[in-house]
Amino acid sequence: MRAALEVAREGVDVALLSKVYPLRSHSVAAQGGINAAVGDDDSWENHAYDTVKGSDYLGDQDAIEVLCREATDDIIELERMGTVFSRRPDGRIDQRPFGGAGFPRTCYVADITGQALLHVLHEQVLKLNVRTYDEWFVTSLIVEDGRCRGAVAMNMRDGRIEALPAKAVIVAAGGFGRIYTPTSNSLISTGDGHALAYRAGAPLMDMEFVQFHPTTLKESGVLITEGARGEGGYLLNAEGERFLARYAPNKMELAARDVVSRAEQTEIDEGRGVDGCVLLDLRHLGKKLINERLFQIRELALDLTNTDFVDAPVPVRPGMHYAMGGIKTDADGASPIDGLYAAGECACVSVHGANRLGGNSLLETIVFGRRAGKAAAEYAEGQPSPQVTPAAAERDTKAIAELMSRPPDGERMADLRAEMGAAMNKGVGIFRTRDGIAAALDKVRELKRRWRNVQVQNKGKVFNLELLSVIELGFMIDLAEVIALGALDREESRGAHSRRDFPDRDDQSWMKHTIAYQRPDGPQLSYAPVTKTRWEPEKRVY
Amino acid sequence: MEARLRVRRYDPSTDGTPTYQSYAIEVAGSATILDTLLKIREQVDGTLAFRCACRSAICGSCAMRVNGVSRLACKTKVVSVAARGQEVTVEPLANLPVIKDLVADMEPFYDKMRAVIPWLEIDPAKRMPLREYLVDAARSMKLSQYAACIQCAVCYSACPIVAIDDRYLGPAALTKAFRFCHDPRDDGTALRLARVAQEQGLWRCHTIFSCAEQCPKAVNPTEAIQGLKRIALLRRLGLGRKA
Amino acid sequence: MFKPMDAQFQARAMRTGTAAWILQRLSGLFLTLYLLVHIIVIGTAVRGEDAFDDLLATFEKTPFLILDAGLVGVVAFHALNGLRLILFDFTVGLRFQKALFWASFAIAVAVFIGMIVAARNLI
Repeated sequence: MRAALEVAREGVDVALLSKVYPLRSHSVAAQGGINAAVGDDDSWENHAYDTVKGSDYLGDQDAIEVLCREATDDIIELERMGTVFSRRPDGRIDQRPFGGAGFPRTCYVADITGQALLHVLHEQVLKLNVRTYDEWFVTSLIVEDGRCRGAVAMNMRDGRIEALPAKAVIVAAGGFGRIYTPTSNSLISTGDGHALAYRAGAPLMDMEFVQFHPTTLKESGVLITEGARGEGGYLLNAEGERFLARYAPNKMELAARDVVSRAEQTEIDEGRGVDGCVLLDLRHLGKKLINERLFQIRELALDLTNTDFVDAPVPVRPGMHYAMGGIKTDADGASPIDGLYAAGECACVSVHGANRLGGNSLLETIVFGRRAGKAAAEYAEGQPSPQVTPAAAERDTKAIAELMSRPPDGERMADLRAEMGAAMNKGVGIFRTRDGIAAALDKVRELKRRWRNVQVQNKGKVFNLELLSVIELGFMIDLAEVIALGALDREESRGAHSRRDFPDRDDQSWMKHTIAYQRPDGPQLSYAPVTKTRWEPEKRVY
Repeated sequence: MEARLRVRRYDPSTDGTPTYQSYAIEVAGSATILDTLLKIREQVDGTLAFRCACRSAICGSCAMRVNGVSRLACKTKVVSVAARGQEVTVEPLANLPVIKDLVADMEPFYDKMRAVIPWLEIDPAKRMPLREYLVDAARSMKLSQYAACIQCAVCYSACPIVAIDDRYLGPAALTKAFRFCHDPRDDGTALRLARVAQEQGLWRCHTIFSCAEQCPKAVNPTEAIQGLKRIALLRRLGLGRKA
Repeated sequence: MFKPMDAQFQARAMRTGTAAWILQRLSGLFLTLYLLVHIIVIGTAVRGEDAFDDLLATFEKTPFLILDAGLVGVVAFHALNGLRLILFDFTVGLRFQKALFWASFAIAVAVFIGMIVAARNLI
């Protein structure tokens, strides 16, 4: 939406297309906050350094500088649009400490920051009268003669498939959490943007870097914000010990997420867990603080686990949360394909490198959403009216007809997805080994074949969510193969990619980005250098 | 544990009239209505249509009626509505047309949200602060109570006045109006009151509280509407510019 | 415009607030009708003292005394709940709306019972 706003402000005709009403988008579930060096004692350089270190030196430092330097102005703009940021006593925007940050610079709205920002942006979209195609599902991007010319989409209300020509397309479809089980991500986070761009010939970058959030609820995978630790919460093992003292003695619970997740997983694996979890203890924060700043997570824990954070610690465990990898773009959101732009979680600039800091994801959507909108609008102004051949729409119509006509004794989508989720979590999870990844890769390739037999029981045209879920499964299997292959080839440990067989970071051979292109026989990998401006890689300790 | 659901089905392309279909399926003890519906669609009946996304009560997609009460399916545990294994009736939101099965057409609701000027209105002649506006911390916290609305339409479905008169703006739209009128940064109160202080607007609220009682995010629309009435009245009497 | 009110008024979906709203209107309707009856009754006075006294004698029979007690109870409820609504218009007590309703209802019932007891003592 931030991108659409910028395009509208440039006076270029824009339409927002989404498979859910914009307010249902997964950004609504972001909780903890958005980073910016607005404080008087803070600087964007400090923010940038923390981000570079957080990325385990895989982030492109020129892009990181852009992110951090432009953050403050963007936050102020959000506030002026009406965001009800939590305030300090003097009326200024309040900030809380967050993981991997040397200074409390996470601006927040209690623990519903994502909801607050998403709604504010939607208000602005309404104000500028941006046209929206709500509940339209994109089935493919149209790339002809090396240029992106629009998209083919299905109107979910009546099943009609239409080619929508455009001078430029900005993809902002979020993450792919549903590839893994468990995940904090919503049911709609199926990597559509990643897969559509990949299939259209765009490269995906750094896909093997998958973030596991340290605090998700056991059964549902629902997220408990890092803000809980930011406000002072403790992580305890079965012996009541704040075990982070042994892994990150300085930052403790506020070390970078990959460090904390690995610490938790180690405790659990070595038998000091509680039912496969560790405990998040907020009792010492007091009822007043919890009710003011963490009321959503208190409700979630009460509703979903019958535990009250005020009285008892809640069991949590790491869960797949964020995709550092995505469509390769420059700092203006442009992918190598003319007319195709991307921003947000589905893009990889890269500002997060091998691990993302909490609070930087919401920031990325704003800063690079704006920049991609501006760049795409400028590009579009120089373009002639888009023309598309009927071939694209026909191809998708045929593909869907094929799906609908599969024999009724075929496999079920949910079974394949469950197998994929378990295999990816086991083999390409927090701790990886060559054999483990290879097993996951085999499973994914097997699922790729079996996908051809998945049946679609629902033959209707109106709101056929079963059909969409089968298409989404196809997207996810393609992406899972890229993730696993990248993880297999990268023989080092960096950020969230942790190899038991290669436990050290190898800057000599591996300080480079993984690039993946789709080829008929699978993903083809190559490598690209990391851009450094002022920070040399150091040993990364918290 | 076995969950038994009686779901209202309606397919515009085939039937003319809605019917009820019963399902029985094994689910975990802690399963929610949404978990059950998903399992039904994945394993038993792929034609069942319902909206869902976040499954953590923040996106507002899964609002529907469970045993006649409007609520979020992802937040409603099966055991809390069927402690003895009884059949649970699941229907789409009330007061809205139905697209298919449990998918309600939200357009009338969204239209009313749009009608109240739901964005921060800034007087172009006003001098802007150098950085952020300074907003009192307590006021910000109060505003965030109303801004926490996720536009799920549970309140709209629960409101008896909306049931009687579908021109009534409804609790969510009026809450949104108050959220801005109460915001010290906003200059649009007069504009908004012109839209809402009318017969189908805030004066239709009879403080029945169904919205406040059923809102899954504790927004308390009745409180917001009363606040709006107060602003409207004070302005009409010439007694207040800031409320 | 007037659609079947199935959803909001099914017993299982009704809440305190809805009940309060319905009872306020029913009691209001009842009191309006009672007022009409009351005016007609008092109006018999134009026919002279004897006609008026005869009519009033019928109202001293037990069934009518019970109805009278009921009337006072309904007045009590309508007045107290009405005050409750006025409080809401001043944005006072919104968070205790259920308690305020039950208090009004309880007092009205107490008044009704009190009137029955008082009436029995008079007979």
